[in-house]
Amino acid sequence: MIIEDESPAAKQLVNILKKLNDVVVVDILDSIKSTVEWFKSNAQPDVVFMDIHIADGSAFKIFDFIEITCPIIFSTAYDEYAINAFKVNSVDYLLKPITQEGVEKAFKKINQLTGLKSNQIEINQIIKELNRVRNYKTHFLVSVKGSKMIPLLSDEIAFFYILEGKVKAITFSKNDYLLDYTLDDLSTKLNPDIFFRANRQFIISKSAIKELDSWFNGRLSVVLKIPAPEKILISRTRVGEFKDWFTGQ
Amino acid sequence: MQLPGKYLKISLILSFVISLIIHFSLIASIFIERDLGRGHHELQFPPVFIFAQFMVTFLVGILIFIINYRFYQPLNIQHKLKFKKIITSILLTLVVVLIIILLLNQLNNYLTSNLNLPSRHQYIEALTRNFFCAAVVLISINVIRFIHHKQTMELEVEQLKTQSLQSQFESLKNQMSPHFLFNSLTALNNLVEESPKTANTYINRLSQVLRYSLQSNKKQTVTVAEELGFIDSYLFLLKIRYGDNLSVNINIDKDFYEYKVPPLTIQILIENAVKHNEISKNNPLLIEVLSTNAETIQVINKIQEKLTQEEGNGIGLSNLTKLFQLLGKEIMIMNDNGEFRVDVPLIKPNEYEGIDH
Repeated sequence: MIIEDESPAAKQLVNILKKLNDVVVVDILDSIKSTVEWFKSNAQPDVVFMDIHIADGSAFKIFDFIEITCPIIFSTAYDEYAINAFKVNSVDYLLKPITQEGVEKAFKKINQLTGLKSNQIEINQIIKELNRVRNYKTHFLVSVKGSKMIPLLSDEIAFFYILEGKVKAITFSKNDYLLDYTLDDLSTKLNPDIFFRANRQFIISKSAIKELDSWFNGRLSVVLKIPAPEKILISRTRVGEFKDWFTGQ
Repeated sequence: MQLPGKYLKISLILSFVISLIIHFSLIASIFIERDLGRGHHELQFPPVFIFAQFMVTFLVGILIFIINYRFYQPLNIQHKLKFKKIITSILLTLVVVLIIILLLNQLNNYLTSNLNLPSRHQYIEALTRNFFCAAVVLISINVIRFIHHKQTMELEVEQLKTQSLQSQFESLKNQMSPHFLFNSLTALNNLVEESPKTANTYINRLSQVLRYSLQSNKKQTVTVAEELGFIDSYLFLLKIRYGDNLSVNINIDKDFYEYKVPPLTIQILIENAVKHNEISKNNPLLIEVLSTNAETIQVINKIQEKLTQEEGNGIGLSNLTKLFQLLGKEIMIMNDNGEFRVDVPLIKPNEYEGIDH
């Protein structure tokens, strides 16, 4: 089974596999959706070749929907993070362009070591790791005046806040934009090195902070370079976390 | 161009202060016995008359300010402070002041002969002096303000230039990104076996794309024809990789071929569409590149959202926005009814010739 969205790469792999004995390519799939569907209505193949960037997103998403119990050989052209994750978790992977020797080696390894056992645990580990190192939201497309949109880099945003159920992003240039996310959503999607969930109303950027004042009950009041619609207080229980974040520990 | 409230306020205060200073001795004479003052033979005006005179100076002050404000308003960053322009504005101001004085003189003649008011000669002399003083002060203030404004703008231009270099560097990086190169090499690897002829073309096109990207940072704008030549090669590479799953329709009026765009504009938009949309057998992607009568190029695609979004630099659109800002233009990004559309203004062949860096 081959999961690959670029036809030359798929053809290349098919050509290599044809030269090997006892190998039949069951199907070539190009997206998460088609793969999920295929696995729901077919028996597991013996081996899956899986490119990690496919037509409708990251191939790791497939594991959210289905379980693949056969061995998987990942392939990528160049993806630092993924390659690192593969190495750390000793998962088989091939670098593109894929060579015949590479494929033969991978097959040998599967036969010897795992005896056709799935590497689901390692894969979960990789997914966790990849989610940690990347996928932070670096930009938004925000609507202004109906259907018109403008790009907004998260670097330009001083803070996010929620008022009457509406989430707004306020930029350093004091513009505000309505966003289609909840603050909870945002706090997982934004880079935690830069943004901090100060309280239920606010997510603030590190570079927007002007000064900090002690407040009653051991709370901390944060003054931003951009005027905030209300006082931003950090509860006593979170002050430690805030200081760690602010000093970059 | 509207007069912003801030400047209206400044003009009101300034005119008031100038009128006050100019008429200080007259106003003071209302309160102080004139015998105590210097000229005991100075003429005494009734307070109403002094007030009227004060108001006239005040209004003339505002008028002068507004005229000059318009003159020294830097409309955009290409606007230069020309010597000719300053002279014109000074002359115009003086002419306006002269006309006002002549009118007032007539009015004064009429008033003095009918109402029997004192010494019209001295009065007009004072007025002339006052108005010219006001004009000089207000012109100077406007010129200073202009220079200040200009400097801030120049700073902004510098910042934008850096950003533009940065964005060109980014798109260069995208072209040269290991991803792009390795994917191209993978495609090439297969082509070499399957059809050496296509492989040959592929190598040529790939080198054209790389060369264009490398050279793009030397120019601020290229002609639409040049950009399309490059796009042709770029699309060839994409077509080999995505096959029938990707189609790009280009329909640009030949009349616009000599118009200009920043290099890589169309490429960035196509790349953006390719990157953020699903391109598969079940959901092929169609990208349309069209010119419009409004002298813009539109890049349109149906939104086919991926299940997971690509990480990293969607910085393309935001950089492109800034790049156009540098040229005093605005790109429009629209998202309606599941269709994503970016509208980029074309630059007329003779527009902004002098701003290449």
